[in-house]
Amino acid sequence: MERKQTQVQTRRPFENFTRREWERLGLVALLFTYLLIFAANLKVLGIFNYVGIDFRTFYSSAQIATVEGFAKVYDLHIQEKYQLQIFKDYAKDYTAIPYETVPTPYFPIFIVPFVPFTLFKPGVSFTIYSLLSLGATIFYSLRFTKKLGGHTNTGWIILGIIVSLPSFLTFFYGQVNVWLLICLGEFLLSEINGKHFTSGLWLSGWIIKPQLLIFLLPWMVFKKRIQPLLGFLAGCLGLIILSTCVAGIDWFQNWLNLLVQYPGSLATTNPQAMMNWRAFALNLSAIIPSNIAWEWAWLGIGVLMVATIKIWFIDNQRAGIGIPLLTNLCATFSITWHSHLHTALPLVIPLLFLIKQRVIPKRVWSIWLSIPTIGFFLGYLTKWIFPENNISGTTMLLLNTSIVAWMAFIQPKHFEKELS
Amino acid sequence: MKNARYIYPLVAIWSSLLYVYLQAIYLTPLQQITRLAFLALPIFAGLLFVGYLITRNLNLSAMLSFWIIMGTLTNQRFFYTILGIVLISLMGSWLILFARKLPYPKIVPEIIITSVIFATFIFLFYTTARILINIPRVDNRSTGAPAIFSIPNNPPIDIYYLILDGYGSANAIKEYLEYDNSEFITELEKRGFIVFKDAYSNYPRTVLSLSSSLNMNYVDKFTGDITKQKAWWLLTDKIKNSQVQMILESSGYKIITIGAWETAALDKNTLHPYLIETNEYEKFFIASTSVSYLEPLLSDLIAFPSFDMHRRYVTSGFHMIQLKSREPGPKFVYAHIISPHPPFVFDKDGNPTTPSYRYNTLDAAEYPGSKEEYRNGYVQQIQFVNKNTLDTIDAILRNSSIPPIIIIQGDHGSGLYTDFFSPTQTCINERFSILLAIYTPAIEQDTMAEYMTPVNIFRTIFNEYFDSNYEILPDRHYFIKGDQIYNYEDVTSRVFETCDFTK
Repeated sequence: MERKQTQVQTRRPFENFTRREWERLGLVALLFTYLLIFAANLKVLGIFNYVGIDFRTFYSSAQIATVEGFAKVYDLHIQEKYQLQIFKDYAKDYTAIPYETVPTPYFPIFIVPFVPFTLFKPGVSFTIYSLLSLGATIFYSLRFTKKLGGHTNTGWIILGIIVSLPSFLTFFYGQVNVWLLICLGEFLLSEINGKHFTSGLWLSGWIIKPQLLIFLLPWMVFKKRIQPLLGFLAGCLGLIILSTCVAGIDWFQNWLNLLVQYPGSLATTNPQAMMNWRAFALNLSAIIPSNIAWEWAWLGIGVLMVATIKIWFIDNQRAGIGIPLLTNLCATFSITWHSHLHTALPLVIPLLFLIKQRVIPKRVWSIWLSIPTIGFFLGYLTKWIFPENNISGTTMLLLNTSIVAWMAFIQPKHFEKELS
Repeated sequence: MKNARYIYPLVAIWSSLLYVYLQAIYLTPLQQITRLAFLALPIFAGLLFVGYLITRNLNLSAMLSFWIIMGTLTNQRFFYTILGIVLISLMGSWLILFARKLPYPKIVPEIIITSVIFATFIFLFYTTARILINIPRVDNRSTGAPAIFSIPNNPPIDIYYLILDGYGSANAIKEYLEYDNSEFITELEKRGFIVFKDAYSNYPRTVLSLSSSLNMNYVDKFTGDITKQKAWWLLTDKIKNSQVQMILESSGYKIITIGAWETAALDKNTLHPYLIETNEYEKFFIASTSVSYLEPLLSDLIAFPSFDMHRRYVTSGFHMIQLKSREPGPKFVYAHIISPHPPFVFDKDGNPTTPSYRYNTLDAAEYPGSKEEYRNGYVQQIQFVNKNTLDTIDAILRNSSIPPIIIIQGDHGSGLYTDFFSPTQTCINERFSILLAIYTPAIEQDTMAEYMTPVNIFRTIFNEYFDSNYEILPDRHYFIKGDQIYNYEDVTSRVFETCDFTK
């Protein structure tokens, strides 16, 4: 006992740290760094200029919904009127990021939960919303890991989820990805429990960002997963009916009109900052001719599609739908036309599931947490030299593409061995 | 707390009442909510009872009552706010209850009821807290008001104080609304009225102007420091218990009030054209909820806020003055007719016209129509008002055995070029120019001051008729700063300047 105490007392800082201790130190350091970035942005730009920019549109949409009607939420001129007021009230005058109107391309029913936030001033509402999102992330991560079982260090997994780059950006912008996280988690849990119709109902929650379903839905059709598909359609129909109840029949046309502007040149789409091949081509165009950059991008898209579809043919009992879920999502994030980094938050669901099933090693979790974050900091630090760099987006793109390639071309050998 | 399972629909009604009040907090005092708050009890009990008869399940009955109330007795914003809180709470309760590993199918109804109860109670707390924080608390004790005195009641002369809301002077109407109103002025003069051709109000808002004239003083002289307040109703007590009313009442006068706007009405014998008169808050509540759909059924009995109601107030106002002129005196008839002030609901012949917007009485920069609509509407409506005013005067004179005192006054002028948030973009001359005509048989025109503002009307009349010795106050004119209606800017020097920017 005495000897142990002496050992502890004489141990210098960081001396003889175990791997786990380094990881914990890293997570805590990361948390503080994020807080620092958050505070610095608030100090320099104010609120709703960069921090909370997406919440600004949700808040203004809720205002528009109650004053002008839900169907008007998709009118960018009306959005501008409301958002500009919030911007003027809160944002600091900083010309580096000029004002741009952010659209809310969600079904009207998804705007209803934002209406109570208009009871408070935007700044207070953003704080409440962030706390609620944080609470929901913690609670849901807790539920998901417990339901999955097999993970002993739940607390650190939850901390890992919270300090992951997509999670940080979700809170930073005031995004709705916690909803995507919950829906995907419940989709997976329902599938595991054999409740396929319910799983489809949960997946319909993803209709909030329909561009994220470009691989999942075709895969379900390919695999003839009729029950989840029916659940998904029923859920969507329910959401459309509810939306029509609150917004009348005009909203759908207005929503579609707004949606078709997305692949185009909506200023706030900011395609250069995405984690897809589109961003890759756009960023590369600054260095090499645009057509060549796009050729590379199309090549990447092609390879990724082939790899993803190849995985559709692999059946692995232990992995269940974990592998296609992970790879379909990775491919989606890399190919879909609107794909910002924060959207990748739900990837933690298939990752944790596959780790628990011992289909992929634990270090993939550490890699997924650390690599995008390193890319993010590198991008941040090199802003002085390359102001328009997208290192974080490119890092995420390469990581997601690598995951798909690895699962398609390397991991099958492992499966084959396993089966033999 | 167990009762919360059933009383939450009642809580929803009360929350809705308070929420609507929050939006009218500067226009009406909290007391006006009382009648509806009590009416909520039988509504809730009735719904719960009928629901129970149908379902034989108190939980289900409460839930049905809740949604019926949400669909009928709430405004859109309240509805979606509660719905939003319910959706968030559903997710929250689901997450929390799942963390406790409760079985899924059995807890769904519990989650829904809990979320609804949570939403209604949290909203009640929210609205109550907001009202407690925002409701004006002021030291509104009178200072420097004239002493009350008794006037000799011999002979018993009736006094009619007829306020025509927003009626400008003939000069201003000609200048800004391009209408020659001289015929009406001539008719008044023919009947023996002294018409002050260049009369200006002391304030640009009704509540200020009337509380000032009825208390025979400038507003800041009989209120405490309320400079930063926005609530109009802070002056209601000053109008209801005004110096003029108290003096006349203590001298044996019967007070009769005819008016559509409770905030600026006297406290005694108020006459209404409806069996059930609604106060300002109730009108606001009806207009903002689905209750307004009952208008076709109940509008003959209850004052539903609508253009029809407005027309009825105006026509019945003139009619009631004529009826009351037959009653024995001495009496003080105070009539506040909201016309020619917007909305413009009569053409020159008195035929009904209906504006294209939802019923409201907004004026100046807040007027929902165009400048052209304002100009046309005002000119049409003023001709209708002129005809009714002359008919009313004739009836009063015909029915009075002793020649009465009749004061016809605009509380402020038209608001074609008025923006309370921008004094520089406001034509002070237009807004302050008012109609002021006094019928005082005992006073010769040449003994009356050439220039008079409303603050001195009753001082002059009491001095001339009843041997009081009131000092005639200097004539000052005060504009207000935006919605801070007690934050004044002295614009006396600008009142006489005609405006060029209007051209």
